[in-house]
Amino acid sequence: MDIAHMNMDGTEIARRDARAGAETVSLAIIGSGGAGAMRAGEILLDVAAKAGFFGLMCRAMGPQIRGGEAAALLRLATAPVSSPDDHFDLLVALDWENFSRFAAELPLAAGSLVLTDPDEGEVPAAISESGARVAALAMKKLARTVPGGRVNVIALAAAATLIGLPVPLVGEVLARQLGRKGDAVLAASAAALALGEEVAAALPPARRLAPPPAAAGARWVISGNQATGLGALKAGIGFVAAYPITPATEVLEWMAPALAKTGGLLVQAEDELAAINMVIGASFAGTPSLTATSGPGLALMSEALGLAVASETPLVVVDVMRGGPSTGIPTKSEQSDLDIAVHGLHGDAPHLVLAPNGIGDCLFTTQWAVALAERLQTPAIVLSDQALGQSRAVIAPPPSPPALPGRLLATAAEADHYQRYAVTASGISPMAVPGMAGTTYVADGLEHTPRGIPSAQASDHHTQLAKRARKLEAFDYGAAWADIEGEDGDEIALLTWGSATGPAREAVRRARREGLMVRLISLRLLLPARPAALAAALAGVRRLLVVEQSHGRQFHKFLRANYDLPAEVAVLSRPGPLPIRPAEILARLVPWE
Amino acid sequence: MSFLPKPKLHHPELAINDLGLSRRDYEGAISTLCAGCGHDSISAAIIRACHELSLPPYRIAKLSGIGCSSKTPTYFLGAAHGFNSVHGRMPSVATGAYLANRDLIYLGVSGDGDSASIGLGQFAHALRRGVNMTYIVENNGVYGLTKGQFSATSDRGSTSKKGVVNTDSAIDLVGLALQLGATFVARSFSGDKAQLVPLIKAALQHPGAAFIDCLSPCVQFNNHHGSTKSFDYVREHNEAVNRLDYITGRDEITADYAPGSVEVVVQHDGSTLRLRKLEAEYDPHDRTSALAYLQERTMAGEIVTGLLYVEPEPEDLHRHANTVATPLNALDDVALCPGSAALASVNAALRHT
Ligand SMILES: Cc1ncc(C[n+]2csc(CCOP(=O)(O)OP(=O)(O)O)c2C)c(N)n1
Ligand code: SF4
Ligand SMILES: [Mg+2]
Repeated sequence: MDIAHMNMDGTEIARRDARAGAETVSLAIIGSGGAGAMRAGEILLDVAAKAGFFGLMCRAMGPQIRGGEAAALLRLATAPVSSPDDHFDLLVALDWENFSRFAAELPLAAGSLVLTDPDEGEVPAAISESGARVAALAMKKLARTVPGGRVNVIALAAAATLIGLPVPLVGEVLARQLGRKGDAVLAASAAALALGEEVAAALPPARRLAPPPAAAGARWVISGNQATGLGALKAGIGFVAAYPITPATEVLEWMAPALAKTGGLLVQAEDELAAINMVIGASFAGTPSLTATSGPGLALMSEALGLAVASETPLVVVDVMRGGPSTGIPTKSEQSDLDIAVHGLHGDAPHLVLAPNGIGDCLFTTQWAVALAERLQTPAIVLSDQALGQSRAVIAPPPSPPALPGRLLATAAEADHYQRYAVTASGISPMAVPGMAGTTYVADGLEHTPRGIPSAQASDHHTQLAKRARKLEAFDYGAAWADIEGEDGDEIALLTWGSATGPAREAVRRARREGLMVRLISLRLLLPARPAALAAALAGVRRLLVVEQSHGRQFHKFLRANYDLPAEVAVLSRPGPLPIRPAEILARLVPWE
Repeated sequence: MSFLPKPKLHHPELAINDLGLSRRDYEGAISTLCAGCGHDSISAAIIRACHELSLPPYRIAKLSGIGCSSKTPTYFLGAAHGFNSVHGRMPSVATGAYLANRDLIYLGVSGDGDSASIGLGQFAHALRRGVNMTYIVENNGVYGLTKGQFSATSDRGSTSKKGVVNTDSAIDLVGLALQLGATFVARSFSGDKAQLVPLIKAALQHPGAAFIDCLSPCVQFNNHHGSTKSFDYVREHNEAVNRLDYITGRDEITADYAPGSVEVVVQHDGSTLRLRKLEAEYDPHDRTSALAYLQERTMAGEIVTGLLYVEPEPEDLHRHANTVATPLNALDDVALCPGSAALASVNAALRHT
């Protein structure tokens, strides 16, 4: 969409962008083990937040457990950002070791500026071929001229200066982090910062940020996994049992101390079978409970999810998806667990499946999922993914989901004629807390009577199946089932879910700015499907583009199985691990102009 | 995962084994583990053991689960077959493979999380069935790959890097293996190659379920003061009950030992294990007293290492299942087809009147 760029040379573009100040600037810092690229990225994100900007930082890591090469991929902006941009405006390479591992994740364009340390090897061919401008900055040598100077601090100062972040703020953030390390360390970092700022003045221009919004308001710097944990806490989760797995572990790491403070408890189980069954036990005993895992763990939990459905035990499973199947690509993102989340249970097993569609939305959706599971006495699967979970964003404080009444509990009035699985109009039956007199029952995976007595009778099976389906179908989910952007009269819609919503949202906004009226629909509630609601959301739409990150078109098939779609449907379905970029989506919309 | 092939430089002075192969021929890709990780030393010991035994690499199946430890088969025996399976299930994959082809040399590599947490059931059943394999657990007391959580072998009272105290009791895999009927049970330490290499050689030649619990410190997450799986702690508390020399059929026993201090165990294939006793009363052929000794010494804070139990004439899964000597995958139609008489009798049984 940036046709104007084509006929200008890189320096010209950069000068123009530097003068005008851009709404968004993307930069990457890469380096081998110990160089501190990731650290520098985190600091820049904090600085941007302090300065009133918004931002997003994704991470790319090599195969080493610790100390391997790393890339911090940042996008800073004057308004909230939901996705990485199409290319990077600035690439700072502390060194080029193992660059090839990241090359595909670092698209550059004419106008991009690459900072290279001439003492750290040749600029790779892929960089020279991209048409980006290359400037030399001897970061390591410069760092050595300052006693105790660190190369990533030089890079940090240079990058901040180039893109227009206030270097004094960088100093403040650094000082706060280094505070305990003593005056010598602080002085060294201040000197390295000053030197970095000074040498950056002589560098060719890079795209600079426009001033931040005047009324900045509060900013949170948070990862999706932290937001998930916070959403769970806000919803009243008191017990978590889980087995560590990448990329879900940070949910647990964040929740363990937080639960301890709120009087809850986290147990590290011996595997996922134990984890989910502990959660079932805790929920049976009366405490809202949750586990977090990734694809292989969800697969192991599948048997117990059936038990939770049959016994009507509320619980939440957060699946932070990664490249699959099997061990797949554990450190990178993909939306390929939709099939197992929707269809992976045995028997007729109605349950909830929800998906956050942004980093802040991890809070909203998890909190809502817990509330729904508790209200509907059923398991809920929350499909987050690595791109949401392990990326950090600078956001405005996210909203909270609509409040719901909690678990429907049995009362003393029911004593002596209590029916745990009573057939009600809503399908929801009062649940007794074990220990109460007169309302004892046996929770059971066997089919049962309303009283909870095992039964193989057709009539009991049919009644209980219908009741369990009804409680999910009849419930009023309100407006939160999907995010919809656009207006009546839009004839084109983009239908997506989860982390693919980020680039889709940006593509829709860009399209509308260019006069192509496209509606965005992002499903937050995947199960139960809401055919009437989607039909209303699609009113007037003639053409639909489905966007998802899977190889097998899992979302498209899911839509076909559950919904009526407009006559003309196109699908942009690409597996991970590379993120879908807004331009890719726009390119699919343009022929419909 | 990236794969960095190692350049094959044959040093003229590198020892050549009976197959004409040097140690280089038993290496794998360059390790991506943390520098100093105990697991890398175990890989080196495996390479040395297989080279010295002149095992043809292509006759070896190296199997693993998931973890830093389970990544190591990429870093040894590059010319062997292998299966990098899922977390905790290596023993079952090995069981299936061994049932279908009893002729391969099975080497299973796992971690304490892989075998004592998620895969405890599989670990137990492979050993009690007597799968003829060498099963090495690279035991560091943490989940290295997922960044340092306590594992089920972390000792009660030991602390994490951040100072959290582990309050759960530890699972002792050696004790379990003894109880489950493994016919070769040893414990060693990645930092003691002189002890470890002969143990791996003996285990590889042992025609039954051979288990080695190898302490293997995680320098990244469990090598601090307060850990009972750190290099310093293991060195200080290591109490070897014996020293093993592994002797192939042709080698002679030359060294002189004080009478009663050496025991010679002749294995099924004619190879010899020479055990130099360090603990006079320790008897490696008595399961019950081995268990009692282990328990007593563990209570006293010692880490007992050495060959803790061996049955010279073990039985294995194929013997129990009464299978023929030809591997299942090599039985052809002629061997398998029961003939038309058998078919006729099956048909007759289904016929009504
Ligand atoms: C079903 C499943 N759950 C969780 C994981 C994540 N995971 C990978 S390795 C590992 C633990 C590894 O610990 P250990 O076996 O002790 O190996 P180490 O890294 O310490 O050598 C875990 C929990 C997984 N791969 N699969
Ligand atoms: S994290 Fe621990 S176990 Fe894993 S490679 Fe590093 S030192 Fe070894
Ligand atoms: Mg371990």
